Amino acid sequence: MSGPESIRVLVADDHPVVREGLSALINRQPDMKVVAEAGDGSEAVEQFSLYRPDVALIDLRMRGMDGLHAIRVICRRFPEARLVVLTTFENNEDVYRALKWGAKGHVVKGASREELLECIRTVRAGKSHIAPGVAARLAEPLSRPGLTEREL
Amino acid sequence: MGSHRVMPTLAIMNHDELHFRALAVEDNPADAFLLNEVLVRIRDARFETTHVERLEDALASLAVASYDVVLLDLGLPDSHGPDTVTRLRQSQPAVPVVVLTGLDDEAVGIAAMQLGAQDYLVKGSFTPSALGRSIRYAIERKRAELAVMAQLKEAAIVEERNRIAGEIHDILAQDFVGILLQLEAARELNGSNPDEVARCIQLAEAVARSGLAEARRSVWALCPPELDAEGLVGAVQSFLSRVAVGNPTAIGFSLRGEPYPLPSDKALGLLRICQEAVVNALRHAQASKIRVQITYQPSGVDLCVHDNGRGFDPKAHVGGKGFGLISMRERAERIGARIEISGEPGQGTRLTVAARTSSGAAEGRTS
Repeated sequence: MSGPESIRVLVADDHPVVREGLSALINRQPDMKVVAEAGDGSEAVEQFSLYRPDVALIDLRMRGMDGLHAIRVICRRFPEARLVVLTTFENNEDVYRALKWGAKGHVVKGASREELLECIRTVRAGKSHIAPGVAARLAEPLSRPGLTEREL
Repeated sequence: MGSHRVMPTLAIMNHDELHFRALAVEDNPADAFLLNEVLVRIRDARFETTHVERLEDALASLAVASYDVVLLDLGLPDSHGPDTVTRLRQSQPAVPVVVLTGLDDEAVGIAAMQLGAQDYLVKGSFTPSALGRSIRYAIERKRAELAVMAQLKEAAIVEERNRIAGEIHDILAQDFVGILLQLEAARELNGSNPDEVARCIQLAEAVARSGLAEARRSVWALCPPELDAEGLVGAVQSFLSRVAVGNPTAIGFSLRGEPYPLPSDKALGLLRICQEAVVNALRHAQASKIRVQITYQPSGVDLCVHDNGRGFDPKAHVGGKGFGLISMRERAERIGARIEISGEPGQGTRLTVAARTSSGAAEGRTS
């Protein structure tokens, strides 16, 4: 199904059914192919280094090393990495952090599959895919007073 | 009822004066008279005093009216000794109490304070200024104690809320996402590959089922319905009968004493400790027999979980498996109970938890 031009994707999520569902969805697209999967942050870093996918979908909250940490490590090692942040809820302070650190897109889990696929294609093309509300918040300082600074 | 109201002193109102409502609980008419004499002579404070002779009447009064302070004699017709303080506290935990003791009862006064009274005075030996000072001190100390308790409660609520949010996020929300992805896949396939469609639906079903089980478990963990309906004994019994199903281990239960209602936090704490101990015995101890015993005494409730398994090696419980032990200790601490776990490798494990029902002592020391 996938030609030589297809987008090579890494999927990192600690919920097996979610991970499998996302992979199946992506693999059904003629222009995409999942090349690696990861169940936690350190696996995501490992698999990214190994496969160097065109786009990586990374769940922010995972057991063990979480997605936020993995995004920071990957973006430091591979400044050209194209990462999409997955979250369960829209308003997540860590999303801003992940985007500031170099993630290129953000999709809420449960968004339409069209949105997810469009996000992967947009980020693959070197552009950002961020909801307008989130983009506006990005212009503000990273941490508002009263929010706990996450140690990294 | 053996109560009558002592007329408030009809002094000319001075606006600098503080106004207090006091409940004097004293069955000896001479002592009551003397107490009132001292009260009216306190400077800069005006007392409106209600006088009752029995603890029962005091509790009835406190239930319908608010008082700034209770002046409590410990030798009443219907209650005697420091236990009087405990009974008063159980019914009215927020009211400051100054205990009035006889000349030779200093020890009783101290015991009363340990049970939650804010101060004590020896009858016949206090001046108006000493009584006034003691009452104000009692009120301030109680206020500080209530503020600390409110903070602790607030902190516990926030912690619990975060835990629940985490559980919903990590389990339920992810399950919904998983179901959604499978259903979308099935819709997209649109019958083109019936086997694949069936597989998606099957997977969605499995995730929905496990999510439902998880939701039930979470709700049950928050407030086991049996605890309200059947009390601690009923809740423990239904837990034991649930775990006994399909389990070769013989689980026995015995009850000693007459059960009485416990504060819900204590009952929940004991139930949780019991569950953890039994699950530990089943999972880790390879026991063939587990005995659970609950003993109701007037002073408190004892829980004992005893198994004949491979016993307990303190060193082996430092790491991961020790989590259950730490959590049981924390639970016991939270309800002010004493917990003991004994056992040696090969000798089985015995866990005992002693929860006192007179909670006054532990709380009274927080401020």
